[in-house]
Amino acid sequence: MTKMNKTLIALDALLASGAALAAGADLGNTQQQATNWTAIVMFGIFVLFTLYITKWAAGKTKTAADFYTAGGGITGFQNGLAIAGDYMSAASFLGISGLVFVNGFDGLIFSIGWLVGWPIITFLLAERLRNLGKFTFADVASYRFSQTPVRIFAATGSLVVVAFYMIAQMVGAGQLIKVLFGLDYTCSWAS
Amino acid sequence: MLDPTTAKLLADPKYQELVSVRNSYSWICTVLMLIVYFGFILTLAFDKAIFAQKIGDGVMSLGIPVGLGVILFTIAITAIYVRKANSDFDALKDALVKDVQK
Repeated sequence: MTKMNKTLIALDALLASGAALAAGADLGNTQQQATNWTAIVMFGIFVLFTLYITKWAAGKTKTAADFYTAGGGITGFQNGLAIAGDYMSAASFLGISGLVFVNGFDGLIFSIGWLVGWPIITFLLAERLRNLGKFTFADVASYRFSQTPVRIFAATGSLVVVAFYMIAQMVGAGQLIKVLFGLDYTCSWAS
Repeated sequence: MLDPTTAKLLADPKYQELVSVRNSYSWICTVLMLIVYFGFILTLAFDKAIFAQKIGDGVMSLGIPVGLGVILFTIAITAIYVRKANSDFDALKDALVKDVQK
C-alpha cells in the first residue's frame, strides 16, 4: 500500500515536472531580471524557518487527531486563518487578482465559483464527518466499504487532481521566481 | 443486527427530530445557495446586457455589485448555518448522548 503510494507520488512528480518544463517555451514571457541574491537568500531563510516550524510541530504530533485537528484544541478563528493560508496559493493570490486586473468583471466570476462550493460542503458533509469521528473522505468511505480498493481509488483521484493543479502552480511559481530572483526559467521552476 | 444502544438511539424521538431538522436545514441552505449561484451564472451566460449596464456616470457595471453580493450571500448563509449548528444541533446532540448513556 505504502509502496504503491510512493510509486504514484514519484510518477506524479515526474509528470508535473515534465509539464512545467514543456510549458516554459510558451509561457516564458516574463522578463528575466539581474540575479537578485538578496531575494534568494531571504527566500532560503524563509524556507528554512518554515521547515523548522514544521519539525517543531511534527514533534508535538502523536495521534491522528493531533495530525488532522490539532487534538481538537484550535479555535474557530485559528482554523479560519489556516484555511485562509491554504487559499493564498499562486492560483488565488496571483491568478485571480491578475484576472480581475486584466479582465475586470470576467475575472471576478472565477473567484465566485470556488467560493460557492465551500458552504455546500459545510451544509452537506462537514457535520457527518465530525459525527463519525473521521477526518478525511477516504476514512469515511473505507469505514463503509472494503478498505483497500476504496483507499486506492481515493488516493488515485487526489493524485490525478493534484498533478494538474501542481502543473499550474509550478508554472506560476517558476514565472514569479524568474522575475524576483533573476534566475533562468529552467532553474526557477526547479527551485 | 443492531446493538441495543444503537436501537435505543434510533427509536429516540429526539434523534428523529435532530435528523429531520438538520437534514431539511442543510438541504434548504444548499438549494438557496445553488439558486443564487446558478441564477447569477445563467443570467450572465444568457443575457449579458443586464450585467453590462453602467451604474450612474461611472465606469462600474451592474455585474460588479451583483458579483460581490453573491460573495457576501455565501458568507452570510454560512454564518447563519454555523450559528444554528453550534446552538441547536449541538445542544440536541449532547442531550441525546446523555439520554443513551443513562
